[in-house]
Amino acid sequence: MWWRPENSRGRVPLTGSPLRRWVAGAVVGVALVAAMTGLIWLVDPNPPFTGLLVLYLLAVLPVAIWWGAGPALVASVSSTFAFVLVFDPPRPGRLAAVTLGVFTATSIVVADLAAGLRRSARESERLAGEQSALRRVATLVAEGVPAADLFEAVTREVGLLWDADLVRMERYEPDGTAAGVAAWGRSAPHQDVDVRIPPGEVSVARDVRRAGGPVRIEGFDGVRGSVATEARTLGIRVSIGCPVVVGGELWGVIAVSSRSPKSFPPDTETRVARFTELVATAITNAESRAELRRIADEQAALRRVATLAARGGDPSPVFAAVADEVMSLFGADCTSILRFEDDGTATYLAARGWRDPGLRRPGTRRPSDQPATIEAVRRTRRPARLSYAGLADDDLPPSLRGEGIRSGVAGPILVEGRLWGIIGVASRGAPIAADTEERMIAFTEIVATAIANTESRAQLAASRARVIATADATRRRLERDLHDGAQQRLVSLALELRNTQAEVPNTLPALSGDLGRMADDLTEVLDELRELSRGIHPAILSESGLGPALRTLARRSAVPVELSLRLAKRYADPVEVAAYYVVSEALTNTAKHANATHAEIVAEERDGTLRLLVRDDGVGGTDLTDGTGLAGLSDRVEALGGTFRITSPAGGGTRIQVSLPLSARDGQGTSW
Amino acid sequence: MRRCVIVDDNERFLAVARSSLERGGLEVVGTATTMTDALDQVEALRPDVVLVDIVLGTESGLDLARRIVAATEASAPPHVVLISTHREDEVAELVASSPAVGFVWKAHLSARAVRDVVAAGEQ
Ligand SMILES: Nc1ncnc2c1ncn2[C@@H]1O[C@H](COP(=O)(O)OP(=O)(O)OP(=O)(O)O)[C@@H](O)[C@H]1O
Ligand SMILES: [Mg+2]
Repeated sequence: MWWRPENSRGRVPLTGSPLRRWVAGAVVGVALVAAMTGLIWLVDPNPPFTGLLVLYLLAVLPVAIWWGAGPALVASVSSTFAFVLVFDPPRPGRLAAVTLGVFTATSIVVADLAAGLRRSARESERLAGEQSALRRVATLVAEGVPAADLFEAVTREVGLLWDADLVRMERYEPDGTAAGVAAWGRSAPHQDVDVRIPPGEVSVARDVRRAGGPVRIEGFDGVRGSVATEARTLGIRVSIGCPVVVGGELWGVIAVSSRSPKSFPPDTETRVARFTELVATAITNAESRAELRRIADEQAALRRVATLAARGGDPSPVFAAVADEVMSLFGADCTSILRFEDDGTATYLAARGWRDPGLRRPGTRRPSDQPATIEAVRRTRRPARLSYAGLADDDLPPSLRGEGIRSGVAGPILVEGRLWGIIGVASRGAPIAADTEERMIAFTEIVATAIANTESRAQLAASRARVIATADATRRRLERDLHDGAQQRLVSLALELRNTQAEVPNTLPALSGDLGRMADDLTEVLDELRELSRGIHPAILSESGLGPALRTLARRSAVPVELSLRLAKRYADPVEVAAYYVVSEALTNTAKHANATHAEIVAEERDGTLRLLVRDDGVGGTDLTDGTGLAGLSDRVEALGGTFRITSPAGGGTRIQVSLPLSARDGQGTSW
Repeated sequence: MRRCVIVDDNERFLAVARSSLERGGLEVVGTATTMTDALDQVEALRPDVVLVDIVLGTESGLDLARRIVAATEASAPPHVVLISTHREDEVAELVASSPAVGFVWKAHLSARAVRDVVAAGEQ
């Protein structure tokens, strides 16, 4: 507007201190009066006085409009004096008094009108600016732009509207820390956003939190703390803070600061609040959207890893999957899963995103290292969070050097109450989200369950294997005792009887006959005992090895057997015994239940496992729960870490497939 | 074919077997209860037949059979006949895979049975 002599910085027309403005107005007024006097004198040195007075208003009014009533008064007085002195009118006293009176009244009225006009113009322009800024922000909110963009836009709009030097937006974390989310500076629009103000430190954030409403801080003189220091460095004289309230809760704060102490009119807080309301709306929208998505993502991820964990067996795929999921869910740059060892080290089970993956391959040991989240978890058994921001590379634990990590969070994996290991995430940029510790629990629990399952399965298998081994040892001893004791004695006795029989004179045929029958009976008993002891333990197996023992079984089978063997000479005792029993029981069943015409045995060593196949062409319809034979076999095979499969459709024959691992297992399942 | 050595870890059986075989016309020139003992006897006595129990306590009669044949390969090796409380059909695979000429179940041991097995093995 043409009358705008405003005090916006950047424009310096009629500005300066009020006194200078006043003087400038007065000088201009006097100059105009002089010019007007000269003009009139040139036109008519003896003019009729009434017309002249009106002309002098042309000098006074602009001064009244631009500089106010004071300088206009000076102009009025000078007009009167100039007229009286230069044109020498009749009755100068009365004329001067009337002129002065009229001019002064006119000046005051016009100056007041002009000032009012200016004020309302200024006000409406400001309002218009504010409205369009609000509209722009509202549009962003409606478009659902990323929160960071919106926050940045709000700080910029507020900064420009109120002629601020620095605008910061911070979010309160649960512990009261105010974490920067956006910042705008007049001299440097791109401010460091990632600031964290501790709860107790003197700051706009702290005061807003305490007051629960808008605050105004005039100067940070004599106050300590990083915020006050920054304020002094920038020459900040006044700051106002407005709360951002989301869903009735204090979410954050917007702090507007200026170097000029009179920058913010009293209603600034209320007006900034219109922006914070928009921010709150956006946050509510974004948070509920993000929360929904996050919950959905998290549930999907949990379902995926839980499914994997439920599969049982080797938990390594669970570790790998959890590392992947955790990394993307928590927006981390790196993750690690480690198992604690008794000697203070830890073993990497999975790692993602590290610049030096060589240090972190599964199975690699990680020496004890400080300061690191993992050590904190080991000490406290609780989640830990560390910030490495600002640490020199040399001050970092060796494993983190060169990784550019700024913060990390780790959660304990507790397996049945015992601290087993950790899941850790780390970030090179923004701090890891505050709720990460809590959200991580679901994942550490799944890992813990997978481990507990594996461990209890391994322990169960080990204890079953021990039970079976003990039973086998007992049976072996029994068989040996029978062989070395009763059988040997019966054999000797039978031979002795025959010897005695041979010595009986021909004259006693009855005695000879009795002795012969006794020897035969004894031999029969011996044979039965032998069958019995063979059922207790296949002694000949340890003598001959699996191949000959299976061939013996095949040869003795009542149903014709086709045999195909690709075996090494010897295997570990439990494997040989289990394989022998599988074939022996299967052939017995075939003979007993199958009504088969033909059976087949395949036994071969492949890929570190012994594979057995026994099948017949009988009636099928096997039911494991009907007897103890097959169930016992299945137990025995599984105790050795093998698999036992039986397919036996009614009328379709029976097929038993067994695989037995040949590598010695320690039963603790520590292969991972 | 007369001279015979018996290897078994059971003393009583050795005694009974000796009298049984001798009654049948075989001369039992020696008995042994362990592998080393047996090898020494065979070396020293040069029997025609050696009866070897398949399960010699912790030692294996099958090993012994192989070693006897290996040790006497240059000269005419003795006939090794395996004996056991196990039955023929249980040990057939083992006997077949060993250098023994045959097998006699202990309860059926006699000079005649030994001769028959040797004769059958020689054919
Ligand atoms: N090869 C087969 N063909 C048909 N039916 C079979 C066969 N094997 C097993 N079965 C059926 O499955 C059941 C379970 O077999 P299992 O060996 O466990 O017990 P069992 O032979 O009856 O008794 P035992 O405990 O003495 O072995 C049998 O009772 C039989 O009905
Ligand atoms: Mg059965």
